Amino acid sequence: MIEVHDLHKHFGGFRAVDGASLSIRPGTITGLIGPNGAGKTTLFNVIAGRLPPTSGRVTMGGEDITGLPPHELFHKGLLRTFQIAHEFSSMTVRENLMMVPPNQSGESIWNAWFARGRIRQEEARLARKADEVLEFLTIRHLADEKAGNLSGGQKKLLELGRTMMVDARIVFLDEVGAGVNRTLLNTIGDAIVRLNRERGYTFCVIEHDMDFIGRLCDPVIVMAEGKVLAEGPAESIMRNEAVIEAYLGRGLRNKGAA
Amino acid sequence: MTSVPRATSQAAPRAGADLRIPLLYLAMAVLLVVTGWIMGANYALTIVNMGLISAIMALGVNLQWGYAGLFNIGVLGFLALGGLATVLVAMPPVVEAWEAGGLRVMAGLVLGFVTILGLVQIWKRMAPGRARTWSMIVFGVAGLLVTRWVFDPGVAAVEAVSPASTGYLGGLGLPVLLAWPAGGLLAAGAAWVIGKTALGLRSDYLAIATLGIGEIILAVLKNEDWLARGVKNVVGIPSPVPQAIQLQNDPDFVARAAQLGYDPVTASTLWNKILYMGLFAAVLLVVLVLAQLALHSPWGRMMRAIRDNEVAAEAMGKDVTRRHLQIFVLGSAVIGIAGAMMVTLDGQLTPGSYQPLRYTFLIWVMVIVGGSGNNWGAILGGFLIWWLWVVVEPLGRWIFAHLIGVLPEGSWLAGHLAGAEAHMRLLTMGVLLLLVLRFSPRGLIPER
Repeated sequence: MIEVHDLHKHFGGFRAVDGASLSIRPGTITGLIGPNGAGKTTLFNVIAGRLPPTSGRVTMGGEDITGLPPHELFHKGLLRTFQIAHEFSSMTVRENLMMVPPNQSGESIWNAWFARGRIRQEEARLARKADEVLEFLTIRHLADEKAGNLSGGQKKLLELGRTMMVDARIVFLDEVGAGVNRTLLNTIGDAIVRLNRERGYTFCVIEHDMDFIGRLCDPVIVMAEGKVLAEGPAESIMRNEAVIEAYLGRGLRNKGAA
Repeated sequence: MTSVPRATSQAAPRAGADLRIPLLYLAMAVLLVVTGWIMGANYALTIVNMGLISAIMALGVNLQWGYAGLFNIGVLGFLALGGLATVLVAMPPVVEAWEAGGLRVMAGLVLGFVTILGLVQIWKRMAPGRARTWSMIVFGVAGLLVTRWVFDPGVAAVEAVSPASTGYLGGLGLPVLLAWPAGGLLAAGAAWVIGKTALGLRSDYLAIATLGIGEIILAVLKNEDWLARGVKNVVGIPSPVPQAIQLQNDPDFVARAAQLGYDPVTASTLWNKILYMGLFAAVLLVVLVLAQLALHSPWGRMMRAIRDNEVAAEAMGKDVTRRHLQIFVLGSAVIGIAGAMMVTLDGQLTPGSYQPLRYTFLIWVMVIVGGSGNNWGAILGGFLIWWLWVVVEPLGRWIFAHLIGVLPEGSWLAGHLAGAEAHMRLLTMGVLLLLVLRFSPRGLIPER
């Protein structure tokens, strides 16, 4: 699905991503882990078109998508969420979802003036769809709340919900569990698994919670210092000597040995 | 699932919020009526007419700032372009000037345009490097020299044609009402060019860029005498409604006025202003309806999403750059229409009178005080601030006169007050802005 070839992203002398190559296979929930500053989010930002790469190539389904702007990638089915939730704070939760689908006829100002009837029908359909998504994410009761008033975890759910308003091919989730309590995290995890199984979404997930990664992700890719350190099933990654050195730390191995 | 909610459904408003808008509008109407009662109907109508135009200006700025978060402080430039359109559309052509150098001037403009197009083509087609740089410098300088060689004698010839009364090319001699949409188009065209280059800038840089561009537009207007006589002003712009003098010479009108118990002079002045008021109110209504329809549609939702969070809106597939350009052009068009209306009302274009304080800052105060992001707020702000701007001076003079009368002859305070009169306007605006920002920071009629 996504192939990254020898990708570099340098900020001045600092090499945030330093020759990373990896592939995300269709239908998987691929985990991306690594210590802080390993270049995970920068990698996301380059793939998703937020940042131009210094060098290297990204392809999706064989098509070169390097450096395409985010809104074009969206139309190709590549969606993302953000490490710090990017909700549309002055809009209601439902409106946050309803704005997502592309090519709404009401997005033309001409239609907004002269095709009110058509827009009304479309809007009714979108509102129904938004409510279904909210039902799925167990936050239907928040539909009319302003998104800016939600809790951090609810905002994360809302961001996930936005990706469900269209038929995404691949969704990049940046620390979807950051600042989210255990119950809500389980809800998010269940939603991801269901989307993967029922609607065939491919996911790439940055996460620090190893339980969450272990439960959801296969394979897991480990990054350190801008490079890919290891890749494989979660269990083998957690036993990998280099990974433990770079990320998991000795404590875990000692605990495992004890 | 129960009933399907409307697209723009929102959380239940606070009790009383529904009444806020009608009450504030009622208070504004009372203010205007009281003003008319004390100062005369003519005075009040003058305020209402300019208030209507101010409301349209505020709608334009609100479209850009309130709904898209674009920080345009070059408002006066777009207003001036609207005013220029009035001259170009409604004034009769100056045949002598066209014969003297009109074609040369036009040819010069075309050459200048071709030079720019050529530079763009060189930039696009040649590989980056020293060769391209030099080609552009050589072509650009040559183009400039040729352009000026054609253009300058034409300008000199045009400006030499009875400079005291014309000295410019004149306009198309079309009905003045056509100037209003033309003013919108001219401002929109300028906004498109500016937006293409400046909208990539972050908010505060965009503000500086628009500030500069507004001044550039004004500088062109002040200095290019062949275009609209520069600071010599264009006067006698045709009026779309019968002038007071015309009405007084119309026996029918005089007879009808007499029937109603008015003397012809009063009746004609009032009727002229009422006709203007009808025209302006119609334009305001059209702009308001179009703006409301657009903003309460998926288009408006998308714009608010972009304003709230550009990065997320782009990740959700919205072409932020294109949409910014679109709303920048639309807002500027509205401002341009208002500019054309204002010059039509005044009957003259006076580039020297376009002060940033009056034509940029004051419009912003209208939007901020009224409530940015809310069209009803912008309109209220337009009326209220314009009313204050006009009324504060006579009111201040009146209050000061009474104070000075009470104070002992030749006291220090009396002298100080007499000198302070002139600053009442700015003081009031500043105090009002501070009060609103302190007690109702989202304006009198907030977005939601």
